[in-house]
This record gives sequence, structure tokens and C-alpha cells, in this order.
Amino acid sequence: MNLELSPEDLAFRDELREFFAGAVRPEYRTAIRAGLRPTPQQLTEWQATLAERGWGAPTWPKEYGGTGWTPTQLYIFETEAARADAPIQFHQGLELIGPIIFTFGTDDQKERYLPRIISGEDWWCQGYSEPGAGSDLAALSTRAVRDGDHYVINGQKMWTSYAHVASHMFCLVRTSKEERRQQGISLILVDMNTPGIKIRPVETLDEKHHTNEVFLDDVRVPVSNLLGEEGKGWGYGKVLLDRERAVGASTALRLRSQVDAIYSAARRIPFGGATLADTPAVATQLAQLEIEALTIETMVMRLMADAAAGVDSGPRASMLKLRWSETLQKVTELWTEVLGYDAAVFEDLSGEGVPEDMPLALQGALYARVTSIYGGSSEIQRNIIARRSLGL
Amino acid sequence: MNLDLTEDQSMLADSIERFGTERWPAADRWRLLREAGAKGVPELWGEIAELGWLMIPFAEEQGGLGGSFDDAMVLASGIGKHLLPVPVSTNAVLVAPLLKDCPAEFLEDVMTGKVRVALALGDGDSRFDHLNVATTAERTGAGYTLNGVKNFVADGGDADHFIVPARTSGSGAELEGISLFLLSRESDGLTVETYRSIDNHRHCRLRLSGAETGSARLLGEEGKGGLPLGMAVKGGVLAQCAEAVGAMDALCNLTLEYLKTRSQFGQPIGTFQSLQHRMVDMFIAYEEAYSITVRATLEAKEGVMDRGRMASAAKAKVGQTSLFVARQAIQLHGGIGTSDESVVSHYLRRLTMLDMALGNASHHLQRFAAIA
Repeated sequence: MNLELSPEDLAFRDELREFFAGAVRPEYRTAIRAGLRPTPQQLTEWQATLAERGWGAPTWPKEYGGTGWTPTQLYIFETEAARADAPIQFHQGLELIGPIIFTFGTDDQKERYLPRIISGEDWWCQGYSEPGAGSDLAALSTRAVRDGDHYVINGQKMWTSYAHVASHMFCLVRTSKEERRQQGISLILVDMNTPGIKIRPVETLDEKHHTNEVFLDDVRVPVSNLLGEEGKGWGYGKVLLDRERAVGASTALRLRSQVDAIYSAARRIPFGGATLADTPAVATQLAQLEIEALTIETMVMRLMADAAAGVDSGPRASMLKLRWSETLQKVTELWTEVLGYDAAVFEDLSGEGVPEDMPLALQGALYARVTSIYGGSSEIQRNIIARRSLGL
Repeated sequence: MNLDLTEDQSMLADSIERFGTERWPAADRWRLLREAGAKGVPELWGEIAELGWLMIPFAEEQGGLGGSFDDAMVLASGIGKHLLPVPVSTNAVLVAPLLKDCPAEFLEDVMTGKVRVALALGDGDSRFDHLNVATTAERTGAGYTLNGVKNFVADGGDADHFIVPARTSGSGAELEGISLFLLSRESDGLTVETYRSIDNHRHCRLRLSGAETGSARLLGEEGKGGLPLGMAVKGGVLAQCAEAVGAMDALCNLTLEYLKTRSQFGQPIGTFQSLQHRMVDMFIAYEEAYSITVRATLEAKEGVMDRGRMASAAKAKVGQTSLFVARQAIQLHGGIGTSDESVVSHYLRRLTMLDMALGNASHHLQRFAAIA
């Protein structure tokens, strides 16, 4: 057993470190440490920067334009990205639909879509949840009816993150009524410019527009946009959800620098002749959170080892997602707490300027509430572990 | 980067598994432990010595098997899993690096289980701060005379020798000036008060009033014992983390088995979601404890100099998660989990003591914060 990196891995790490040092824009740093995404425009720029270097799709095999990296290399990449406070690549194209396209898609679909995911030219959103189908996704009722060479889609999607900037949506729809609810569901790729699509923003508590309702009214999509086989979409969907959890690896490695951000804040705030960081209450909470971050980092290493060994990493990924989201919530809450009255300054109305970490720390804390809900809520993750790993 | 056990380590794990299953089977463990009572099970120590396990924490130069942190982890974890009442973490792993300059015959006696050595901790009012030594050692004639109290000699109840940290200079928690002495149980001026803890381990308190030791009994250089003492405690902390992780592994699995077989309201209780989620949280706690223990163990092995910060992270996290798991295991077992008859209750007793020994979670959390 060892944690040591081979000379090749060390050289690779240095190469990454040098790249990130030159490529990462420091102005996103506080937002990233607050667990917030940079703007879609900034994310698209970042994707293009990585693509130019040949690193646009770190988890993909080489034949589809990916890096073909080993799990260890991927771990090093994510560790260095975290160390440099680089933006986290937007995952819905790269990690969710991309792998489904290269696994189940036609040659035409692969040629059309994959390169534009890597370059950042296309932005994909996920048309899964509906008003009546949240955790119980199989209850979805959006219908696609075959009409000649087209499917005609009618229904409503909910909590569609970034639909307002997306060029495409991968959408779970019902193509037939079967005995089992999971049957008769298909996965269809939809161009967001197709007539009949209406997007309404969902305003959220963090005042950051990231999610939407999507109304589909007689949306005509060519039959060639069906992914895989008709009626088999649920199976692909499940593979997707597994990958969505694996995305946890990239986010979970950020926790340590997020804790560092609170240390910095606590150290600059004077308290009782010293700083807030020196008070036992704050120091103990920070220590606890740093230990959680170190633990979670090591869980990521174990997840990567599973991936390398070809073991079912689903339950461990669910554990990671659970612990990461809970810890991120605690981190951003403590950050807000440490800021004291500064946390009241959410928007500057007088032109005086806002304190350094605000409104991002509080926005991060409020945004973090959704992390234990999206991608399968904490309760759903526990159900998955109980069923798949414990046989309950 | 490789987190898999080596072939040798897998073989060791298998051999402990066999020994635990055959010699100390889960179904009889409560009875064996109860029967042993205050006298403990001294014969087990000789049996595991025969299997060569006591050689694992000693370096090759000492005639041991290498003393690597990850081998000790595999050993301690197997012992924790089977709740074997053998104090390997304390009477072998913890003391091994401090005995490195002892004569070969003495080391052989230790590794074959003929002689037991324990480290004297809990100096005066120092609580868990092991470098805060108030016990004094004064040069007198050919040797030293020791004065002080050691409240917790970890598994010292049956020890023949004690390693006693004492000050030859300096004060408080200064690293400089701590000397380590090897003291026979029979020394003049030494009173040994043996006691049993709730996990049936046997410890003792040392009262040193003018205890005399020959000059040959000084371990290492005079005044330079602080650093090796800190390093040894780190190794002991890691072994105790591994022992707790092994116990958590066993607890998670036997509780899961219980959920699948115990019926109430006409169905296995494992069909109830509230219990399923508790069970999942126990397995997550185990995963966390295992992860941080492996991390700290491998960093120690690779010589990362962090003043024991990562080991403290592990001890804190393992203390918290192991007690969570043991308490949940009892809750899920219901009343029977609290009984002496159920091995579940023995695990909580052991884990409570493992958390305390070498500093509890709250101590190591403070220590982790202080080193930041």
C-alpha cells in the first residue's frame, strides 16, 4: 500500500500545476470557494481553454476525443484543479449525456455531438424531473408520440438547470404505456431552438438564476434524435444517474480549499485581542471541517481505486455524494457565521461596496441547500446504498 | 498510489480471520469474556506470539518483521474485528520503537511473549498530553531515582517492565529533557496498582517514590526521549484507530445480519426505511473511519512530517464514528444489544476505551487545531 506518485505521475502533476497557474483567472476564486459556479460564459471559456490543451474531456476515452487518463491521473487532475481554484467543468454534457452518446449513440450522433461538447460550443441541459416526478422519476408523464419521421413531445420539465443557456436538452419521455412504469420511457435529444419550447426561470433563495421550468408544446424532433432504442431510456437514465454521482469526485476535492477560505476570513477578523480563528469555538469547528474534508478526499481516492479495478462504485459514490453535500453545507454555514454582521450585506444599495466574501459566502450557503436534493436526494442515496450494497 | 493490501498483508489478514473465527468465535465471545473476567486471558498472548504476530511491529534490525505502519494496521484491525483480548496495539506496536536499542535476548523475549512491556502514560495531571511530563528522574550513583505518578499504563496490568518517561531537565510540555526508562515491575520504590477497565483490559497505575533504576535502563540518550515518545504514541494511535475500524466492520455486518433476520410486525425489521437509513449511516461511518485511518497510516509510513497532525485527524474521526456505530448497533438490536449476552455490548465497551486510550476524539480535535 502506498500513496506515493510514480515519477511519471509526478511529472504529470507538475505539468498540470504549471498549466493551471497560467490559465486560472483569480477573479473567480471566492465564488468557487463558496461552492458557486462561475457564469455560463466563464464556464464556456474555461471549457474552451481546456479543450485547446487537449484536456477538454478528462474522463473520456481517447477515441472520442477524451484524454484516456487512468483513474490516478484523473485524481491528480482534479486535485490540481482544486489546488488552483479552477472552475469545475459543467458536467451535464461532459459527464451525463456525452458518455451515453458514445456508449449507445449512432455514429452520426457521435460525430455531431461529441466534439461540440468538448469544445464547449454546445451546452446540454438535463430534462428529467417533472412537477409530478421528482425523487420518483419513473412517474414522469411527458409524452413523445411518433408522427412520420418525427416525435411530437408534449409535457413539462422542472428543475432544468441552465435550460436558459443550453443549446440542447437530453430528455426522458414516455413513448408508450406499459405495465411497468420504467418501461416505455425513451431518451431523446432535443435542440433547444425547436419551436414549442418555453422556458420560465425558477427564482431560488440564493437569488442566483440557475434553474428553470421547461414547457414542451408540440415540439417536433426528428426520429434520428432518439438515443439508443425506443422504450429503453430508463436503463440509460440509470447509467446517467450513476455518473452524476461520480461527478462528486470533482466537487468533493474542493472542500479543503473551501475550509481554507473560512480560515482566511476568521484570521482577518479581530476578536478579543487576537483573531476569530483563535477562539476555541471557531478553531474547533474549523478543525472538524478540515478533518471531514481530508476524510472525504480519501474516500475519493478509494472511489478512483474502485474505478480502476472495474468494481461497482455506485454505493461508494452515493456515500461520497451524501458526505460531500452535508459537509459543503456546514462549511458555507460556518463561513457565513464567521462573517458576523458582514453577512447582512447581500446587495450594496449605496455604492459603498460590499465586504470581500459577501454576498458569495451567504449565497453559497443558500445554494448548498440544493446539493443534498439534486442528483438524487440524500434519502434516495440512502435507499440506493441500502438496496444495492446492503441487500435490504 | 495503491490502496490494496499486499499479498503478505492479505495472508496476514486471512490468518487473523482464521484464528479469530476458530479460537475466539463470535457466538461464544461474550461467554469467554465473562468467564475470563478480571484475570483476563493471558494464554492468548502466548498463542499469538507463536503465530509470529508480535514480531510485526519490530524493525528487521531488532529481529522483527519490519515494523511498517500498514502491516500493524492490518494486524490491529483483525484483532479489533474479532474483539481478541490481546493488547497488541499497546504491548507491541506502541512500545516496539522505544525498545530499539535493547539487547537481542530481551527483544526476543518480548517478541515470543515471554516478557511484556507497557508504556506508562497519564503523568500526574497531564491528562492526554503525553509530552507533559512531571515525573522526575535524578541521577543517583550508578543509576536514576524516579518520583511521580503514572495514572494510565496502557495494558500494564500484566506487564513485567514499564517504559517510564521522566524529566531529567526542563519542565511542562518541553520536548527537551524527557528521558525514557525501562523499569522492572519488581523495582524498589515502585508501587503498581492494577485495575480492570470495562472492556476487560488490565491496566495499572504506577506510584514512583524513589524508584531506582540502573544506568543501563535508560532507553536512548538522556533528555532526548521526547521525540521518540511522540513518534511511538503516533504509531500506537494509528494501531488503535485500525483496531476500532476492525470493530466497526464487525459491528456493521452483524447488525445488518440482525436486521435481515429479526422479525417484528410480521416482517424482517430491515424492511423499515428508518432502520435502513440508520444502517446506511453506520456503513458510511465505517467507510470514513477506514479512509482516514489508511490515509494517516500511509502518510506516516512515507515519512510525512506533520507533527502527528494526520494521526490526530484519524484518532478524532475514528473516535467519533466508532462510538456512533457502536451506539447505533445497540439501538438497532434493541434491548438485547444492551445485554452482556450480546457481543454488541462488548464492542461498545471496547470502543469506549479505544476512544479514550492515547487521547480521545475531543483531545485530538484540539490537538489537530493547535498544530494548524
